[in-house]
Amino acid sequence: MNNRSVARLGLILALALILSYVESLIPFAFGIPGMKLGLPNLAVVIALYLFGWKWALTVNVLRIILSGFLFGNMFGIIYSLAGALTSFVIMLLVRRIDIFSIRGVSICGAVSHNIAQLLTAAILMETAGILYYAPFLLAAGVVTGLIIGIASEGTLRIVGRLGQ
Amino acid sequence: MQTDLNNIKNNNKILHELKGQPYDRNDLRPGRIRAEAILIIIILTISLLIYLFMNLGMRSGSTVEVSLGGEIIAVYPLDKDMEYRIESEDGGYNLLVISGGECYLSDADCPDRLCVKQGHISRSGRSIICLPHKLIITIRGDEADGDGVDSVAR
Repeated sequence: MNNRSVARLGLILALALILSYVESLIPFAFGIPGMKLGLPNLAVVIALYLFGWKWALTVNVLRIILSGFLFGNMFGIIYSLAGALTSFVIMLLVRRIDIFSIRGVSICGAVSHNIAQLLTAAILMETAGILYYAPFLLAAGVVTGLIIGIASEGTLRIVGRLGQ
Repeated sequence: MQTDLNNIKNNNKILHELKGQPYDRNDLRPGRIRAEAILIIIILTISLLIYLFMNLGMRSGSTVEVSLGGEIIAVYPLDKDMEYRIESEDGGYNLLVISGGECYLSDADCPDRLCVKQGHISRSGRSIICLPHKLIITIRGDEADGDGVDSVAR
């Protein structure tokens, strides 16, 4: 890893952390546990499309650990990791299958993130009652995934125009 | 002159590396947008079906079950108006209120207070969950209770 890679990783990681902070300021949960806007996923999706999966995975894991210590607790890190890693694998697969654009990739990521987090909560708390929230989280994943997908697409277009 | 040229070349190289791979202009082609529209419709339909399925089978409940860290610590009747303070393992608390056949958490010292925002519940199978305190409030129905079936049929 050379200096330039370190700088690049720092840049994306800083973006992800700022987005985590902004997300913690926006009340979006509507009383449903685990419902989030998923703003930090913007940084992950951008890293995935610009620099490849290794970069995106590094950013993903590091931002969860850092934001967990900064804005959350250990308990939250477990939930976040379960959701983020599942959604990351799903996004890689969906991108490989190559039938969706960045918007579809982001939607699949958001929906699988919510499902994984809900299942983790059901297992950790040993209750199926929490699955009551499944339909709300599915629908929310579609909406937030679409928003993040459109935002990523716009960002990538602007980044692509730089320096030309 | 030579060093200037090298500098420009070098800067372009840095810029290119920072930019990463160019975004494919064909990423948003019509076929993909159609595929995404279908994906969205399918997921929304599934969530609506699950929601309807879960709500159809619901009866009004008769007891309130309190579970802390996976263990049931108390069961209260839903028809007696009362207020309970539930102490969690980490020293926190949630205030459970039962009133008028409904129950809700009126106060808690968990960081997100999502449990308070989850509102009132009265039907069998519904629950309020406080993740930080590992607390689950569940409404249980009496199986022999014909009331719930009637209220659905009406």
